Amino acid sequence: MKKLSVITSIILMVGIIGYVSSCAPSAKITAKTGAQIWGENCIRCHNPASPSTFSDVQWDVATLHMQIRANLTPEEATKVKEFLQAANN
Amino acid sequence: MNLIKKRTATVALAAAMLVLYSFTEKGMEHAPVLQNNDWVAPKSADNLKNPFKGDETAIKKGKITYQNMCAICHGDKGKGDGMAGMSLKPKPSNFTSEKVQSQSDGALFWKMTTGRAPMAGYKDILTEEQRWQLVSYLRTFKKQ
Amino acid sequence: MKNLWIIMPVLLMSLGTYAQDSLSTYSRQAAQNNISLKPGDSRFMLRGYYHTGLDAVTSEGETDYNFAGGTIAPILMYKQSDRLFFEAEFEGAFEDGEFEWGLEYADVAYVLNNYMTVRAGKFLLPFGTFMEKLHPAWINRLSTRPLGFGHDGIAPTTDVGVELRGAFHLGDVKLNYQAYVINGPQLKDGSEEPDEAGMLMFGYMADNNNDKAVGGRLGFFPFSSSALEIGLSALSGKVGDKGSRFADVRANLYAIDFSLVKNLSFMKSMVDIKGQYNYSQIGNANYKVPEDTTDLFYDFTNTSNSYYAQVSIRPSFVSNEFISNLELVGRYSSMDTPEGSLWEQSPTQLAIGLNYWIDWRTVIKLGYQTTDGLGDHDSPEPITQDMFYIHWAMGF
Repeated sequence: MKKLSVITSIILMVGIIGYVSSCAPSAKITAKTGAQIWGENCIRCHNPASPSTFSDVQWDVATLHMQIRANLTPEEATKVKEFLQAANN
Repeated sequence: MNLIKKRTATVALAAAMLVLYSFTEKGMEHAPVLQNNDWVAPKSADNLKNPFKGDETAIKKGKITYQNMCAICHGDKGKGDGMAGMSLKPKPSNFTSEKVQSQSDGALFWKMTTGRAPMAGYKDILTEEQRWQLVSYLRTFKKQ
Repeated sequence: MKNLWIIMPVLLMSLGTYAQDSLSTYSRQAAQNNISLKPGDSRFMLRGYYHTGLDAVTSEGETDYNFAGGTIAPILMYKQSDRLFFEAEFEGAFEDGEFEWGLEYADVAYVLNNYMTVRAGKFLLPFGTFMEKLHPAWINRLSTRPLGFGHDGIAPTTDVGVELRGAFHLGDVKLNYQAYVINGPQLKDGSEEPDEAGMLMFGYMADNNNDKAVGGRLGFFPFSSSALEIGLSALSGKVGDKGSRFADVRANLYAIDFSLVKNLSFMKSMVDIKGQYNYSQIGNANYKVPEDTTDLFYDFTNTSNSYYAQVSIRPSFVSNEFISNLELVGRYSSMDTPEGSLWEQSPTQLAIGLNYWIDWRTVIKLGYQTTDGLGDHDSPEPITQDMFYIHWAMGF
């Protein structure tokens, strides 16, 4: 019974993913810059870090960490990383 | 003995020179790293001419770029009160201030091009045209 | 010769400077040539947080003062590629005079595609937002946890299993989800701690039955600015020991969380409102009456709930720098555990705090907290506990 429900939820999930990938984010979302995504998302839990806090390589690690923890899309996290790396020197 | 003394003295002198040299070089190269509040564009920047000075279309385009790239720290109305700027040191500039508005177009252009942490440099991110449009838009924040 | 001994250290020091300088010259040249220092694919980062401070706890008219050593929580992060990531958080603290290390979480994650990341290992459960995202000392605006979280709490903390998570946009709206299968919470049947019969234990590594618990969270950002998030969480699984008379006891846990972060420009301030409601429903079971030799049993409706609401405001954009670093925070929380159980309690708690942010991740917290209500099994009488504290927390 439990196995069935696990399998059903996985199928459901795959179905949702299929549906979602056919839906596009709005133009307003795709036009968002790394600076905006950084400013709007980090502050949801903690004060936004100064770009000068970390080196390029450290930001590379930290942004993947936050992509996973804060449920950013890979595209959002990449934009944030590029902004922070551009602003830390 | 004398020879050794002379040699060591020479080596010490050379070493001291190296130390001094490293200081001067560091002093020159790393000056922007010292996060004091005075960030002055080089004199040469003042000679740069804004091709879009007061151009209404350019101002409109600059406003769009500003909302997307700058407002998050410098604030929607340029007061330096964007939410992402609250923990930055130094604080984001207030564009309505005399301190900013008294700078030449070229100096503002140079600053957004070069950047200084935590302010990003936009040399590779925005085209020269877009940066001049921004300069024109920044002028609209000047207190009437 | 004597002079040589004096000169040697100077010489060595200057050589050191020379070496450093040549290195920085190299990196500068490298940067100019845009080739960088070519970092390898194995990218480590050590992060973490710590807090310490002074607590003054007043209970039954007596006040105890204590310097609190806090918890040191180093987090090891390792990025192997744009897809493969590992992280682990350790927790070190003094318990009963001895320093002990614990494993908060350790999990490996793989980014499958734009919408899905799979994680496996011991992870913080996405049950609401407090435990997964807001509990670290440098993030939590107060030094204490709301009622219902932590020791003797009703909300799950960590568990071992596998999880799918991700986010996607539908137009302006953003959704994020987490779905997991874990070993699941375990029921205290009263055989070891009779006073806690019917409570759930969280964060155990080994399962007590073969029934795996399933759960998840769905988070919803109605506005494109991500300022507002509403989340729904659920977790369900059998919690009794395999083969025991509790084997079929099932727990269903639910949570609703809320978060709003907004720049109020007319007040030159940032406002942050957070809240979470937890509901726990555990199947009926008969527990043995403690210290009774006649095999007497008792039961009760095993439902609990707790909630908290927190508002913090920081005048970030006033011109005075000192004031702009101050933050005022207030939190109300409440918890109800089952009537008829031996751990019945219904406290309410008010916490207020004044924080000073030294930088974005370092804060001095000054706070006052008062807890009132029916106590737990240790004190069946109504209790009042007041606490003053000053804590220094930092993330690194």
